[in-house]
This record gives sequence, structure tokens and C-alpha cells, in this order.
Amino acid sequence: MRPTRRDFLRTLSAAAAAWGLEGCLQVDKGQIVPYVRRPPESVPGRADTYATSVEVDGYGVGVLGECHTGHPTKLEGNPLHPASLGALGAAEQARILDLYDRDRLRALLHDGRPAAWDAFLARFGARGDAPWVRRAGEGLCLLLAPTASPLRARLIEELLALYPRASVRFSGGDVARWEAARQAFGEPLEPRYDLTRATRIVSLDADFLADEPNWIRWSRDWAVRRRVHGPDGEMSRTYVVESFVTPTGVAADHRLAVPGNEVVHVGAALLGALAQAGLPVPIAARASLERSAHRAWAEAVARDLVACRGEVAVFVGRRQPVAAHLVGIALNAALGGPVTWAPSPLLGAGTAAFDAAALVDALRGGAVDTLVTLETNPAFELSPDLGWATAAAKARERVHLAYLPDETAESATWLLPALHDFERWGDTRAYDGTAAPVQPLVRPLVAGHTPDGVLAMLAGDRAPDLRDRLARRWGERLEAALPRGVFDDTAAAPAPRRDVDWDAVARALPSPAADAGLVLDLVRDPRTDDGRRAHNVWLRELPEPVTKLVYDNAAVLAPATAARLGVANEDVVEIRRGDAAIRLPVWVLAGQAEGAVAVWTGYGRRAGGALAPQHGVDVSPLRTGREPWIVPGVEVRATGERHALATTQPHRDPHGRPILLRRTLADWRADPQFAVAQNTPPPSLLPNRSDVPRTQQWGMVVDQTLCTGCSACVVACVAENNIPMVGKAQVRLGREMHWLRIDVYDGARGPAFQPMMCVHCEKAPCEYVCPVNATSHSHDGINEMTYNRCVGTRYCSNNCPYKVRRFNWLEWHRGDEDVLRMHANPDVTVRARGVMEKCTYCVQRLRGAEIEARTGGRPIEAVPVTTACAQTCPTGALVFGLVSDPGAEVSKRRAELHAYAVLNEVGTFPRTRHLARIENPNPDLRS
Amino acid sequence: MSAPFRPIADTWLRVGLGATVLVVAGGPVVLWGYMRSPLFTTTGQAVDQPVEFDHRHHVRDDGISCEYCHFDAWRAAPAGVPSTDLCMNCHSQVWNDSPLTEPLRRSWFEDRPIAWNRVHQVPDFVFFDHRAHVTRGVACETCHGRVDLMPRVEQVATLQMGWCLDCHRAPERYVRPPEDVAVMGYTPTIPGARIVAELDLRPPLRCSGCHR
Repeated sequence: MRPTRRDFLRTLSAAAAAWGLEGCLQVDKGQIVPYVRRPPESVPGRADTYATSVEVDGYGVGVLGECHTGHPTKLEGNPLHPASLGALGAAEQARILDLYDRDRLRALLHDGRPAAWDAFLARFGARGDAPWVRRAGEGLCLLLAPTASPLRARLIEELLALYPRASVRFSGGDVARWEAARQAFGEPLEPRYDLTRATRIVSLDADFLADEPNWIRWSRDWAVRRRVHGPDGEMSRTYVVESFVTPTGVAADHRLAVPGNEVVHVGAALLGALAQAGLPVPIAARASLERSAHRAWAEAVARDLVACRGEVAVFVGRRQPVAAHLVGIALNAALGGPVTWAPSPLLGAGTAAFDAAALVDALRGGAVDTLVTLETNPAFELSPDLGWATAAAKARERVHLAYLPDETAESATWLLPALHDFERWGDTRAYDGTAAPVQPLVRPLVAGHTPDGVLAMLAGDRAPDLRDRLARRWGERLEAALPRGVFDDTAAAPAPRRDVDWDAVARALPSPAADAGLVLDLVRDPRTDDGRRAHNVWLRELPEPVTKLVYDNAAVLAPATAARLGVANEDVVEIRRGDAAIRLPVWVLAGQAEGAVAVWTGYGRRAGGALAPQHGVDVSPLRTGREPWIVPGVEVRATGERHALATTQPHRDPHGRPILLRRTLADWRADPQFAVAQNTPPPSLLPNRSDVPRTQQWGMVVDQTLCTGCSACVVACVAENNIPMVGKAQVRLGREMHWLRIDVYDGARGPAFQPMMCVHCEKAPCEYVCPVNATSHSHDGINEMTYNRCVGTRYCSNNCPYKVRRFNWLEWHRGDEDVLRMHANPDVTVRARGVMEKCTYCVQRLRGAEIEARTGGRPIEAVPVTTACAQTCPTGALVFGLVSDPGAEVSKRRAELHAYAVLNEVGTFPRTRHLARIENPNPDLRS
Repeated sequence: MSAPFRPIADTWLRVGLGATVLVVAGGPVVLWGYMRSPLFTTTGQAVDQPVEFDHRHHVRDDGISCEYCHFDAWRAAPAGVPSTDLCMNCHSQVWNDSPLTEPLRRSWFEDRPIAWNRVHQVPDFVFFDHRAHVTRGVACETCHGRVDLMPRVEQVATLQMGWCLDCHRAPERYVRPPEDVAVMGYTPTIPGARIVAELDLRPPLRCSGCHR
């Protein structure tokens, strides 16, 4: 049959319609892929938490890793671990991002070509053909990062039993501290502080609230005596002597700014003043006091310390030389405070194993055939005058285990990919000796090994099973320790009091200070862990606590020094010492010691991931092995060039407005009601939501006395709420996205920190101006932000007096979708371009807790829940909870007399209340 | 000089005006309708699956409760598609040589998961929690319909916000005793208001209840 024209058209149109309709109907909604064999403990949509631990400077810190369908997404401190007690610092939390780093080493490389682990074993295993295998290890040299791991100790023993002539060495370490203790006590000991019993704390250049080993625990304990509940309360007093303004210096009551090389003189003067005040100081220390430029200061402090003797703790910073540590030992001994001296848990502490110069000499002498560097980066970390590069080149084989292709990897003949902290089995030992297991949160993403695995392979194990070795090391205790994250009762016994060799102290007392000229103070950057984490964008975009600079390092100068040199912010200066010079931009900072220029180390990496070499300048040309941190006699001159820096807070003068209330304890006693006016809302025509019948009410309190600016909360917020990073150029445009920022305001008594995030106003200016109701108020007091409603008018941000709203100017996550899918918190929306966002009080956690309470038939008060920032705060400065529950900690703190509403006068009724910063200055001292 | 407009211009103007009125007035109506039509909501479209799984057979003939396979709905946010091992609990014994269960055996022996096609999907910015609903008297069939009568599962409800709020605003119209949530073809015996009072149901109406 021949189709007519009409039939043809009819068929065609019907087909077209059906085809079109089919296209509409078949919406692809994706797929659901369940397990084949489901692990019994897994519940889809619910996070699993595993207890493990990580090493920080070699000391263990317990962490809890939150995993969603096998992907670790967030870290919290382990409340059972003594070095954490639930808190965790910024750098430790950011390790979760490293796990998904695109630049990590994925395969073993031999002379730059992919090779198998079998090839490595064939060369270096028990029957390998390396020459030292048959010569009892002669020519084998291992360099490890500092570690206190008991398992690693056993593996090193095994290796040395097999190869007795091999040498095992460690990099870094607090060498000066150990050496001072060796001179004073005869043994390389470390101080143990009980700050819960210390009412006076003296820090000689020690950033013990943000960077010293065990600082998280020190912060926790420091807060116990620092928190003040009312004008009748007592609080501790902290003195800091330092060059650069550190978080500890800001948190302190008195901060004496001196160049780093003068700290020891101030310490000696203090010792002299103690002797003058009649304390038993059996050496002639008075001369140090008499010639000191800070005599009045030292005498006033000494009077105060003597009055509180038995309750004084003295810290000496890790930058300081042996003499300063000896002075610190003497001060602690004279004052008899809660300080004891105990052996370091670190392997080889205080021995020649930490002597970098000896290692370089051995290399240069050609005694090393095979150099094995395990997760340490001497090519960047050692000062260049040691001549690492040429010395290491003398070793025939250079084996390097690394997570990222760092500087040492450049010259490695065997480059081994390391497993991440969260892919491995092992153990750690904390500062106080408590051992903790390391268990993987995720199956290894690459075929790598850990230092333990490499040690076992060198000792003849072809396929090391570290879980099995751990079980053999710990026996039945392992099973009990894994769910809790600590091995019980492994802390070191309390150390006995020890007698100080005062002669050693007397020898260390500094001779009169010669004029050292301008001093270069190199300062460890706690954010990037001295450059080791320079590849981590969460840490690079984390504002430095005091200057609020991101990405770059700078030459920090006091205003007077800058004026003398004729330079201002962002002017490039040349810092010269002999033939070596570096050029970097200036940042002028009030409070920086005059006559000193402070620069953070760890910048200007040559390698180590895509981000590490970007921004910042390497200071190592000016560094020497003898003076690694404090370099006297540098010349600084302006070059006429400019370099743009990015800061998140360009202005820090409150112009007398009551933004950050601060009082001394004495003033508070004189005027107990000083904050009440700032806590009494002005009359308002707007409806009062407090009259609405309510269920539970959430709220927060920020204790500005306790905030040390350590920024752990900022990174916790980033991890919890999928906050994007924007890069230096965008930060300069003011487009950073952190929901939680820590402002710093200058005052007559120095700078102070103010954590600021959405304060969840009960009469929120943002809510009234949103044309689409994208921001609205919830029944339980949360100022909600509904991203899918937001059309990006930015009226809310313009109307917000606290400036806590962040706008997605660009699609920040573009190109990162694959990584984001793994590390992002699946309970929080990933915001698109054109959407406003801000702190939500971690509403996903609150709603989860509500569902938990309602479905479980429990009251909401019985479900433990808090925000990410409050959870991780080492000092407990942030407290979150139910303000409707009078028994809750947050309610008690809100009711304290020094609680106030920031910008109370604009009538926003913020739900978050700040507690005024209370300081406890010495009445005998003027500043 | 000729006239600027020819007579036909008048007609064009009228047609143009009419079209404008139609688009302005009718456009929203069309959109309104489209948003509610199955074209947009994807309701009523039976979805093919890699396994010829028939809920009619499993629920009606065998009397297997929803909870046996979708037990996660009682304890987690997603209801969960059963893993292969759950299917094999029975199908290692029954119909273990049927060609219909061949994909199951292949998944089991090759250790390769079965990729099921999604039937219900809410947008990424919605955080729906099954546990909060099924333990609080919102039944399976209230949202998913009579799955026991579906040879291939199809979406019954629109899953749009207005539909959610219908129940969140007036839960008494939909809830039943929590022990009956898995019953198909349930006839209410207890007044909803009493259940709401007994369970103290206060479904969230604020944005962050679902959007976070």
C-alpha cells in the first residue's frame, strides 16, 4: 500500500510528539547503589566516628574522625585524650583536607620512573643487594621526624638488632630545652606544668597558648584559673615577654615587647629581682637586674611572683637559646610552682640523634651509602649554612618517604608515597606519656606506606601488617583502646622534684648586652606548622591571629622602627646580613618590639604541592644553624618596590565605641554594673519575639577573657559548614567567606580578640529587608538563612550591623566538585554563586539532635549537641547550648554581670552575648 | 508619497496585541499548570529497574513488610535500598535458578553492586529524614502510595514544598499510630487529632526544618 501524503504527515507528527514527550517524561534522577555485602555497623546517612591520634611535633594528640559513607570529613579532639580533652587546633583539623590533596604522591618512583614496591624490597629488603645489608648496616642512615610512638621505637630496635651499625636520627626537636635541662639536672628533661594550680604565669617568648608543644592542654588548663565569674572572683595573671605579638601576648595581662635576643636578659633580671626580694637564689644574679633597662618592670613582677610563690609557672619559648631555658629553670626552681621535670616521651630526646650538624658531617665524609628520610624534609627545614644539598648528594641512594613532592623529594633516588595520618595503623605517645592508637579512617587511597611500614620492610618484613604488629606490641589492651582512643594508665608517673645545678645557671647568665643593632626575629607560623602545611589552603587563608594577614609572610615592624626606616605597609624592604639578603613587604604592627623585625618562617617553599610555593618569601638565607631563630645585626632598607598583601581586617581602631568592652578586675570591682547599660536593650517599636510561646531556645556566649585568637574555631567552622576558600586576590577584594572571624581591636592596654559570627538577633535587621524571605527567624531563636530562596540582592548584608554575612560572588567550588564530594559535610548545602550565607549555629547539628530527641522520646536537654566552634575551642571561650534551660552552662554564663550585647545601642537584641574582657594587671605596673 | 502603513498593518497590530495579552495572561497559567503536571513532577511514571523486581509479588503474595528491606527508614535519614546480601537471604534458597534473579547472583558472586534507578528525589537543598516521619506516625503509603499494587514503582506524590507543608500544617489529617505505618490500605480507626496529641507532634514549619 502506498501511503498518502496525509498518512505520512500524520505518522511523522505522532512520532515527533511521542518522541518529544518521551524526552520530557524520562527524567534521569540518578541511581542508588547499595552495598553488595553491607558492613553491619554502617547506617546510611549517619556519620561514623573513629578514635585515632595524630602526631604534632612528635607528641600524640587524640582525635575523633567523623566519616560519612567511608569519607572522613571532620576532626574533633578526643575528650578522653589528655593532650586534647576534646579540643583541637587549626592545623590539626585541617589535616582532613590533605587527605584529598590532588598533588599527593601516588606511586613509588625510582629515579623518577614508576617502580614496584618489590623493586624496593629487592634492593633494601633483608636479602637485598644494597651494600650495607651484608655489612651489619654500615652505611645505612635513617632520618625520622620527631616521634614518641612506642611501635616505632620497637621497629627501630628491630632494625638496629639486624643492622647494629646503622644510624637512626631525628630532625627538629626542642634541642635547646633539652640541653638546658641536661646542664641543670644532668638529664634532658621537659617541663610539665599544672596550670590549674598556677595563679601567676610568666612566658619568656613562649606562645604556650597557641604554638608550644602541648599548647592545647595548656590552653585548657590556663582557662580554669583565668575564667572569672563575677567581680568577687579571682583570676590568674599572665606576663609575657616577647618580640612579635603572639596570641599568648594578646591574652596576657602584661606584655613586655623586647627583641628576641633580650628576652634572656629580662629573664635574668627577673631572677635577680627574685634574689633581691629574698627568694633562695644561690647565685649572683643581682648584677643582671641592676644593669637591666627593665629593672622597674622586673622588680614589680618579682614582688607579685614572690607573693604567689608556689603557684607560679614560667614558660620559655622554643625559639630561645639554652641560656634562656636555664634562666627559666632557675626561675621555676626559685618560685617552686606547679612545674616538674620529666623525661621527654620523644625517642632519642636530648641525645646526639637530634644533632643535625653531625648528620651533615657524616654525610659529607662519605660514611653514608643509603640515606633514608621518613616524613621529614631536611632540604627545606635545615638552615642552608649546614650545606645539606651537597652533603646529601654524597649518599649513593637517597630514599625519601613523603606525602607530597617536597624539596627533599627533588633529589631522592627512591621516592616512596606516604600514607596519610588517617590511612594508617600505628600508635602515638602524648606529652604526658599517654599512649594512643592510630587507626585508619579510610582504606588507603594509594599504595603507600608509613614510616613504620618502611622500617619493617628494611628490617626484613616483605609485607608489613602494622595492625598485627600493633596487636603484638599492645596485646589485649589494643581492642579496649581502639574504641576509646587511648591506652589507659600509660601516662608517665609524676616526676619527682629535682635539684637544680645552680652553677650551670650561673654560667648561663648573660653578660651585658652589646648593641645588637636591628634584630631579625624569625617566628614559627603555627598555622602552616612551619611550612609543613603550606600546601593546605584552609591554613593559608586562615588569617594570622594578630595581623590578620593571609597567604603571605611579611616583615613586621613596630611603628617607630618603620618610621625610622621610612617605610609603610606593603613597601618591600631588603633584609641583609652579610652577603645574604631577602626582600619582603612590610607590615606595621603596634606592639611589635622596637628594634626588631619579625618574619614568619615556612614560606617561599620551592616544592611541596601546588599551593606551597605560592606567596611569601623563604627566610632561610638569613638563618644559620647556630642562630636558627634570632638573628642579630641585620640591615633593613627600603627598596622602593611595593608588594600587595591581603588582610581580612584593615582597620582595628574602635574609635572609642563600646564594641569590645574590657575592664580590669579592679575596675570591675569598683563598678560591678559597668556592662549592664550595654546589656539593656533600647526601646523598640518592633514586635518582641520573646513574648511568643516557645519551645527550646538556642544561644551562645563568647568569653573574650578566654579567647586567645588561636583560630581553631575558624577551621572547625570551615570543615563543618563547607566554607569555600577564595584565594588572595579575592580576599583583597573583601570576599573571604569565613562565617566566623576573630576581630582584633586595639585599646589602651593593647590589642584584644573578639570572635564575631552571626549573633542571631531577635530583631534582626537582615530579616526586615529581605524581599524574598530567604532569611527569617525560627521558633527556637535562630536567624535562618535559606539558600534556595536567596536571590542575592545583598540587602541583608548591607543592613547587618555586624557585617557577618558573606556573599558568593563567584562559583567558588567550580573545578573542585570531585574533591568536594568526598570531604564536604553532606548535611550542609554547598552554596552556589549569587547566594548569601552566614553562621547558622550549625543548625544541621541542632535539627539532627532534635530528631534524635523526638524519635527517641528524650528531652532535648539530654541530647549532647554543640556547634563546631564551641566544640573545639581549647579554652572554652565559646559556649553554646539551650538558653531556655536554666541549668545549662550557656545560661549561667549569659547571666553573668559582664555579659553584654555587641552594638546594643542599635537594638538588635543579639542572641549571642559577649562577655567583657576582664584583665588582671599588676597594680605596680603601668602597662 | 505613499501612506506609511498599508491597510494590513491594522490587522498585524490587532494580532500582535492579542498575542501579547495571551502571553502575559496565559504564560503564568501555562507555567502554573506545567509545574503541577506529571511532565514536571515526574509522578505516575513507572521506572525500569536493572532487576525485574515486583513489589506486588513480594508485599502481597509473600506478605513481606516494608520494614524487612527498608529498615533504615526507622533509624536513619535515607530509607535505603537493600544491599544484595539482604536479597540473597531468601534468593539463595528460593528462585535461586530463575533467570529473573540472575542479576542478583551476578552481583553477589562478582561483588559488584546493583545500580537501582532512583524513583523519588528531592532537591539537594532539602534534607528529608525518614526516621523523623515513620517513627512519628507518617505512613509509607501516605507519601509513596500503594507500592504493593505497583509492578514497577512510580512516584505518587509531587514531593513539592506545598505538598510537604500540607501535612506539616495539619498533621492530624494524615498521621496514624506509629505501629501501623507499614500497613498498606489502612483504614483510619483513631482520630488524627488524638494521635497528634498523644505523640506531641509539632512538625517544623520553619525553613531550617528542611533547608540547611
